[in-house]
Amino acid sequence: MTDARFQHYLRRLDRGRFNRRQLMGGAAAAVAAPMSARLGASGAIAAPARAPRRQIDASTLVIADNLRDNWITLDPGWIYEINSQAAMILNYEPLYILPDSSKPTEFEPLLATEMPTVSDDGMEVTIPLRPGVSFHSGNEMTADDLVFSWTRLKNIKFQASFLALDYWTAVEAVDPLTVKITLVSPNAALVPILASTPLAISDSKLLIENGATDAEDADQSDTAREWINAGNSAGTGPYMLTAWDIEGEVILERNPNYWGEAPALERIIWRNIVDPNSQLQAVQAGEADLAYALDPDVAGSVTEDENLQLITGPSLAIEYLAMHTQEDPGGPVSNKLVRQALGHAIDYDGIVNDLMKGAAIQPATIAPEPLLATVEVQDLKYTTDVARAQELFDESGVGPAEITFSYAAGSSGEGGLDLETLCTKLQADLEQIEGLTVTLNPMDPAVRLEDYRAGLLQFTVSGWTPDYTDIHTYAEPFGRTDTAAARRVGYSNPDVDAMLDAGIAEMDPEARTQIYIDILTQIIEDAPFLVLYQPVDQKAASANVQGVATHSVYQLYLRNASKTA
Amino acid sequence: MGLWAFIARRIVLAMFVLVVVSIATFLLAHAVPGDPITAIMSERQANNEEVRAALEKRWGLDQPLPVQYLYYVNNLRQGDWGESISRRTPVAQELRDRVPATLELAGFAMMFAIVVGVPLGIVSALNHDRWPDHVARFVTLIGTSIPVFWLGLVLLYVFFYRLEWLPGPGRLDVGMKAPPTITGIVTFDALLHRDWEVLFAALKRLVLPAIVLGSFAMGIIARMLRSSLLASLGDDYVRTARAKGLGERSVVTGHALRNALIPTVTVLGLTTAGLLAGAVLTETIFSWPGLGSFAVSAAIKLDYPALLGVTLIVAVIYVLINLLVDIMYGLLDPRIRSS
Repeated sequence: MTDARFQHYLRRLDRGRFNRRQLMGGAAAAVAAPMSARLGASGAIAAPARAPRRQIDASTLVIADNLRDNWITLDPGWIYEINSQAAMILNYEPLYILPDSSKPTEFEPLLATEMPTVSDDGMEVTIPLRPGVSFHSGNEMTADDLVFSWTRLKNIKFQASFLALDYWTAVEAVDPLTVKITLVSPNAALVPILASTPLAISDSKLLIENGATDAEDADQSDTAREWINAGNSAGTGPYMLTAWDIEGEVILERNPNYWGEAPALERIIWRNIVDPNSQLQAVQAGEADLAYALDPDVAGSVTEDENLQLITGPSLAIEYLAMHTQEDPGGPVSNKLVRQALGHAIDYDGIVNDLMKGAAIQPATIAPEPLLATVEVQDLKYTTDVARAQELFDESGVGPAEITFSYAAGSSGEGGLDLETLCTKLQADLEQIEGLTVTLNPMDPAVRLEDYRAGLLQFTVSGWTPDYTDIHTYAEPFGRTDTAAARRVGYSNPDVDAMLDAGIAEMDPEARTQIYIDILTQIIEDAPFLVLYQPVDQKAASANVQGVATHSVYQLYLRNASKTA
Repeated sequence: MGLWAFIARRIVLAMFVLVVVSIATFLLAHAVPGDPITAIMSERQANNEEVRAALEKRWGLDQPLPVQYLYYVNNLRQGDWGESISRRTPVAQELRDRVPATLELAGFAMMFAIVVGVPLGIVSALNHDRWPDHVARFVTLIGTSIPVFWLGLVLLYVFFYRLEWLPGPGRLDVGMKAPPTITGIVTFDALLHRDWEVLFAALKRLVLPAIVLGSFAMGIIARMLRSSLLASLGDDYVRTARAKGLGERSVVTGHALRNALIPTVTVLGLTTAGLLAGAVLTETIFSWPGLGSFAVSAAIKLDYPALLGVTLIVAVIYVLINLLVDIMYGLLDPRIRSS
């Protein structure tokens, strides 16, 4: 079946004029087409554009997303999932918000009325709360609700509890509309931290009535999540949760008593469609307005379709190689020169342009752009130079070496890139160095994660997404001795540790930038990690959707969303 | 042996099977390398011992294995199936929601398989080596050999996206509320509530997944029936029936088909059990909230409570279906019952 013949059938199908014989032929063509494309038939088969039938009214936005595998709850005490952040920030509100993540320093007060007032020693922060804010229940928001919410988050002792545990020693209500935070140490990243959704203020009275507690044993005794997951809401946001079924639909309805400007849409529905291709088909067929997941391979067909639009924006996710810096288990990669050699052997353009179809960039190191200091260190990034790689490898003196490259079998990296494909390419790239053999070691994802976290892997590939939009959320876990990622590769550099202490406490933007330039420069030089790519977020949406933006932390920024009829 | 004694013996054996299954699953799940707590801890908290201890306590993983099993069995007796580690929901609630959805999809898939497969098998056998036989065998070959995910994607592309004859993935239309739960089977509940709009929408959304899921069973049933009917048609008792002057219809339906159905019923039973537990790909393509995807997710994430819950339910389903098959054997052929 040729492509031309297949296109002919598609056009006939579009017009709906088919007899039985032709229809059988068309079905056969549809069956044959993916196979021919797979087998390398000439040219990709692009479906002709046509106006989708509209099944959704203009006051409702429907987002197709794999809720089943990516959503668990909208309870601020328990949430840490990525995709559901878009709904979370509409439902629950923190003190500050970042409206545009391409400008990661431009935070605005949300439930606070102004930026924090910091004491001279930098250890005490006072924040005034917005007056006249009511929760969805009608209860008035006060500083006590904030104290309850953060104490509950801390005592639930789950994934996001570090946000309420690591940075301050006390939070107290000075009066009904003022809170005072006593910090562990001066913190220049405080506002980005306070813009995280787990630190949203929730309705303490309502939550307590429904099983919540901020007691020490909240991890065992708090049961409010079940109540929230029954489709209930305890936030202050412009929308409130009215239905929760992650196998069907999650529905947020407009909050009629919202304290701020009323949003344009009456409701936003997240519909569970697991397969990314089916998500796009749902948008094309008019059953959804926006597809959350988009295969980079089909992004081109979205831009060619006049009924669709491609919404893009920077993500702050990175996919990186981790190389153990200690002799056991690092072996040859414990040698800095070998790690640097590997950095020059990788074909970054091939990854960005061929594997990711251009929907990615190569950041210089473990901090994605455009965070603080990342642009300034761009020139220091590793570039493909096999001769230089060979030179460094020879200079290291390790002789013929073998690397075991462990990865999570059957999984995808950041941006949806198949890890088998990526690792096979990397193996070929790295083996351009004479004397180096790379053995791929596909592992069960859970086992790989456990081994990596235990610091048992010599060489592996992993992903990282931000906790908040500040350089410190990357520099610290990747740079500080015995912390998160650094611990997994046995990386320790006392200079970096000292600079991290200085960087988090430095309030002057220029001085702070310079500190992080120095930190990133040192990490690039030490090369315990090599960043392969930073994906660009891409979403396919109907052409009649307006005001929707991708967001590196909230994933989708929907506060300004609207639709034309 | 009387029918009731036969059933009683089968039930006792089934209970024994369930106990063995629960112990084996429990031990196997814990023997597999990997730790579910590591899997749910954030990168940032990965080395936080306080958080790990709290999570291990929450799921009882801080206890020795035999104690964990005894707690599990004791809780099970009180109707508490535990909390899923990866989804943080009560396993009993997950099973309550998913088993009806699976039964609904598997029921319609089996309906499709029988309605299409049985006539195909009969037509094929009665027209041995003639063109209807060839056509029928070709159809059954497609049913058994086309990969489920591929058939699903192609059917969606043609009938949902291009022709717009049928709706896409999901159990109900966008924004449509399911009727109040009675059985959890949406079509049945809609019928009981006389909610024709929901019933019609749910039926339309069942067409494609039922065809996709049922196509393999359809092929197997048709092929099995064809071969066993062909064998029966050559037996002495059929020749005798014909010699007595019986019409072809009554020879086939009254004599040959009855015997040919015994192996087909066996296959039907096993295939139905497979449909109930193994519909992972169909459930993924059509975003169906069934048991299969839950089982796979539980296995990948080593979610012990979910894994045990789903294994027990699937074991119960297998045991019940085998019981039904045995009883049907007994009804179809009393000699089996007496032996």
